[in-house]
Amino acid sequence: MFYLKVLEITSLYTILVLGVYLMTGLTGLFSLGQGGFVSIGAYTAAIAYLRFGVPFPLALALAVIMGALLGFLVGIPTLRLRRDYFLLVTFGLGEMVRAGLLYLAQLTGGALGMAGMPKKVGLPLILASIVVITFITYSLKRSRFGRDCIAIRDDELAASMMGINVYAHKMKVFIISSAITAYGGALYAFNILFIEPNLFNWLESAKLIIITFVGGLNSIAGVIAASAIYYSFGEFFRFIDVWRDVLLAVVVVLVIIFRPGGLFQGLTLLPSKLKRKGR
Amino acid sequence: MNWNILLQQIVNGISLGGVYALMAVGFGLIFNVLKFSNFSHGGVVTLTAYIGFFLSKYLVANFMVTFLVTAAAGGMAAVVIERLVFRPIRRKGYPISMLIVNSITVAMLVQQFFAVTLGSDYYTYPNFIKETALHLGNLTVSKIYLLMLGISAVVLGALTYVIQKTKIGIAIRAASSDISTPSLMGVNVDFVISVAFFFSGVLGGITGYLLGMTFTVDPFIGSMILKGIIASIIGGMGSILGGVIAGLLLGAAESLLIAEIGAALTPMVIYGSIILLLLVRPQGIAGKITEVKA
Amino acid sequence: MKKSVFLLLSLALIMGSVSPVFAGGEVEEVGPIKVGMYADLSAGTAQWGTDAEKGARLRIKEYNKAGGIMGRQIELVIYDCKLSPTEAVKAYTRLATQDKVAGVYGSLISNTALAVSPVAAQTKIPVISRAMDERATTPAFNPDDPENPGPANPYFFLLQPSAFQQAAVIAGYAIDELGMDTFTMLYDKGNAYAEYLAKGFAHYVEKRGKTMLESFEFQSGDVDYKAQLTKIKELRADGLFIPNYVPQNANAVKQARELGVRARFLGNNSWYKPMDEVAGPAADGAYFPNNMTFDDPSTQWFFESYEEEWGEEPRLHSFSGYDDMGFLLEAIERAGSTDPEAVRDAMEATRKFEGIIGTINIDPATHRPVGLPMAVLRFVGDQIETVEFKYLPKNP
Repeated sequence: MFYLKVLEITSLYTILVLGVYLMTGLTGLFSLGQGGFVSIGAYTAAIAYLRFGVPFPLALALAVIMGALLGFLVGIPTLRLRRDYFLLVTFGLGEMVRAGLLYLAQLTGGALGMAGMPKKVGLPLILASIVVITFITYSLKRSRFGRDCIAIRDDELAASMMGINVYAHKMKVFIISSAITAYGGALYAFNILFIEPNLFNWLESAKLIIITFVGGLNSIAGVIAASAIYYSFGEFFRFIDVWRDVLLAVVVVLVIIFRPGGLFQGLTLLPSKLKRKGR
Repeated sequence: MNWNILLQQIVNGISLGGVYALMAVGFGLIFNVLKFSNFSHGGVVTLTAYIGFFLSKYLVANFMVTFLVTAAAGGMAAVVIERLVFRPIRRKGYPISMLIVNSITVAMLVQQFFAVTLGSDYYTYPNFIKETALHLGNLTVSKIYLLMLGISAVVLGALTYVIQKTKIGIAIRAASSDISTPSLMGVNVDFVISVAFFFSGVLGGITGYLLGMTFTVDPFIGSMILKGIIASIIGGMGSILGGVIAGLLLGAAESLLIAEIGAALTPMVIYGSIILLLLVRPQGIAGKITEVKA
Repeated sequence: MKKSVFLLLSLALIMGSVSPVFAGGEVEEVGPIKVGMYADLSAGTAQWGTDAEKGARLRIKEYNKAGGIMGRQIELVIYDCKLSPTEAVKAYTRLATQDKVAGVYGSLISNTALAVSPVAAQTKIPVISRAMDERATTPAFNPDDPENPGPANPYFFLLQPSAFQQAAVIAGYAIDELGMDTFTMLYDKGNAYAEYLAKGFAHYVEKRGKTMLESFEFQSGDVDYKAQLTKIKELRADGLFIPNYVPQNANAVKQARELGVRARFLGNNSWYKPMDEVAGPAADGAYFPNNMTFDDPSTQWFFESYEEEWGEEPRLHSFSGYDDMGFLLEAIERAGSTDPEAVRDAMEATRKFEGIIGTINIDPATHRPVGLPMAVLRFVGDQIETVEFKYLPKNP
């Protein structure tokens, strides 16, 4: 039963990693505010179910819609910014969501969090979700749309000169990614059964990005594997689990320097194709 | 509220802004000159906060000495980070996104390292300054905040001079727009960049020491740097002065907002405004628009 | 795609082969008795977690020296939950289903307790904890209606005064012994522990007919509270309640002093050591409740014992670990078995457990101790002094 629990938790986080993978792997966007979307998804589903009596499947759908909507609203002003600006703005967004959740204590319980959700989400649903999301990601990657996105990731200026509507592509990807992340948050709420505004901070969001890089920007399987290993690491290597994050950091630095396609390059493009001049 | 309180709040805000300005300068050197967001600066701040603590508690209880040594340690740490983590990426010509990811990773590494090893203890610096408050009439200012503000101003002046007038400064500026220019000038690019990182690290060391002195030292002290980074970005690409001013404004805005609408709503207002600002004026307050190839 | 399928399959195979997925719930009858613990050994409250572990280990060592329980030695299985509810749930599930412990000593922090509490109700291995959030033991608790806590979670126990109880101690002391009438607060809005203490404090003050002036919050992660403190100074309240963790309390106190805030500081049990080192003389004049005090002659032997074992002075949660583990072990002893149900029943029936920091009577309706006094301490300069060894506030 314990390993079941581990598998559940690992898979939940893997969904979140996939959300980031979609965004970062396809268009090169870095977001430190994923936590905001996780929380939005979790709270939307929880509040809909607990306070408004909405049936569970509908609550899930609502979470997804909220995520997509928020992604759209946030995307409008921010997707035209430079990468590092976007990174910071999404960080700010995460903080805003957190502050908002704390403030609307009547609705959300504030710092006290929300509990009382029944366990509606089990391993079958989570695994099925991963399969579906992987399929979506994979098809997107392979499609014309996906190839255009990867072009954007590698060199935005060149891509726009080729006639690709950079902004529209980024927006679509961002919306899908936000929806997936919010979905993950909703699943979390009905599996772990306790949520609070501090659930997912910028550090956890950063870890999602880092794990994506370890897995490989071009390899879905690699990313899933990296995520599975990281989030279940503690169970197999208990005695050094305390050092887990330090190890992750070291691994990432090494991977980026020596094997930038990711640990599990497999299907990835070669590093030489990622090279651009200067900056 | 009455004038006295308002004035005190403004004073609170500006002095807090001094802290942010110092962080903006340290971050800004690399950001504005090399055009790269170096998040590992937070890691340097955390590291030097601890170094300063251990030095002053166990070796020499002298402010000046430990302060200078810590600053130097910060400089060296930054150079080491550059050498080990950034240079290989730069050499191989990888996209800038890799640099950013690695810089975040370094910050995380430092934080988690301290969380695992020393995280279970709280450390405070010895009391170098007995009376930390300066009383001007009805107003109270913290001496250390003033010190941070003062150092920012001095450093800003010095940096501006170095960057505008000296050969190494010009080389650093040239390196930011095209990495091959310095070598055309007869200056070694790697050396130029190391120098830039050294200065930024020294500033990080100063920041770490002063922050450690004012607040408790714990692994998360480096997270404060995010405010400084935000200030740099609002201030605008290419202008360290912009970052400093933005830092002051940020501190003032925060204090006044907290006093007026409470700490719960303040982040929403502040971040909301920043997003709006960047939307309307993406180059920040004082920056120039640079062609973004990324 | 083939490669990814292969990778996924191999992962599944590895997990499958290593996991006895259909593990039953039987606790072993021979060999050492296993007791479990999950604590924050890294992350923000790591100091408390490691202190509690040391206290617990000391207790176990003593028991083992005296022959163990029912002739069996006791073994501690401990995991780091890193202040994360998800990790805590993982740790608890592992302890219950893999390690098959007789009982679990949970982490001090309420967020982990709230996540583990429903799991414990299902998995049925009892958990003891210091988590002061009322909802850990009585999940239906509503802070706006504290008199009706609702039913208790049968598998979760609290071994110290809850947030509302603790806040009442210091509020009551301030009103009755220090003669204060007006109060204000500065607390971490993002911290449920601080928020519950704040609500408990306000609730008691109002019930006693005294005045609760405006309260002030700050965001988790903020280190500068001058904006709030400047307004607090203007309120000229008698008492300023600051119920957060050590670093925030220390920052608040130092800044309040700087600004010249006149109100007397009132604290929570996080004002005990190492607050004296971190805040220093800025804390002068503050009063705070604590589970124990080091002046108490009846606890001196523990200081010596602990120092001999660990080479350092015990802090508050060293005592907690020692007492709480003792409670758990005694319950096993009284149950005469390692069957978790029997242990749970023994815990619920505990009256007069003599801990070093008080006598615990478990109230079966709430699974919290009833009538457990706290000590009241104060700062003189940067030294902590005991004012009351055992204090119980008046009922409002």
